Amino acid sequence: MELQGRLEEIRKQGLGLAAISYDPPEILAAFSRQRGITFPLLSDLGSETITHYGLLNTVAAEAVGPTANDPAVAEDVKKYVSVVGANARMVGMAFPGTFMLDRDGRVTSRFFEESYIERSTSSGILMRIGAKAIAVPGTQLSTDHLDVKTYPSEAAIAPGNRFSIAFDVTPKPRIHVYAPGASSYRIVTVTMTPQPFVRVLPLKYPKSEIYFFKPFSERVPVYQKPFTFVQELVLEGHPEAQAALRGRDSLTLTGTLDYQACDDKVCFNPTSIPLTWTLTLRPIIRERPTGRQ
Amino acid sequence: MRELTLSSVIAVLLGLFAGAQSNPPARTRIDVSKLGPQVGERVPDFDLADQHGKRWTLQSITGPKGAMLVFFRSADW
Repeated sequence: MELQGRLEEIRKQGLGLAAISYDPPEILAAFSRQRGITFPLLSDLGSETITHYGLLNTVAAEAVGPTANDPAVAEDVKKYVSVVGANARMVGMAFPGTFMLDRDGRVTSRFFEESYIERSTSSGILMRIGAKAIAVPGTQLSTDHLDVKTYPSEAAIAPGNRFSIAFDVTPKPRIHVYAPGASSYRIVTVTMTPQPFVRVLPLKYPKSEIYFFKPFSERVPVYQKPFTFVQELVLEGHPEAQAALRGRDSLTLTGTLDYQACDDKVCFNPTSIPLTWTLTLRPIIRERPTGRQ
Repeated sequence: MRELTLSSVIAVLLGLFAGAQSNPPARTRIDVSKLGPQVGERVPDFDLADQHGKRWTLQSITGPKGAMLVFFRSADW
């Protein structure tokens, strides 16, 4: 569980951490010994809490039930249970996902994936909730208008991971760039170069401010203070992707940061900065503790 | 008369049976974004043992700023 590697970072945010599954305590004990896990792995044997939360994976029961061959059921089984065939032991498991809670137990954000193979990495989640202090080295660059630091949410990813690339942008004095909603200006954006097995999700922008441009007396949404936006990506985890990625030890992503900058008097030509990120590719961990057969 | 009633009862029963056969209970497609507590909602409390047998509740796992609560499939397979 990559969560263990982020434990200190999570605690620094003032957050508690626990993970729940339907496994019996002895399986969780073996797993935590094997992986050196020090946060609570909670045993919901019988799936009462999972059911109470509305997260019982009902497709697992269908997968081993009389309607297993129904095409709609079979399709969901592939997506939510297993591509290689379900078995009765899977009945009772949860749909995997993460809740970020405030002190009163209210959900502030939640992360559930469309396919069981895909999983948000915990540092990707931390990045999206705005936690800083990410230890992955980034690329720093400066243009006439901006200082930019860009870094991935983790140094190493596996097929099926949903991860993020962050952009910390600091406009130079008196400079602004355009935010979504600004018509007739090129808004600041990231264009990732398409490549097989990498899915690019919509860019997440922070809140912008309204800038009053005197010469045209127009009001436009801009960024003029330091801001961070996050590009989420999925390295696909289906069998075809896994086969194609097997044996590769790194994944290089390329893209451009595109923007148009203006100061209080003039607007500069639209700019496009080429960027590259290289991440270590690790295989999906398949080892399991010995115990239940 | 009696026979007529009986056969109509059978007919009705057969009809119900056929109806049940041709209309299995409607199956709703899974939408994971709709499952479980939504943003702004309070999550249910729990009382569960961890890998060392220590019991935890929602309150006891929560830190000064909140908590990250992860549901995972299994540590076993």
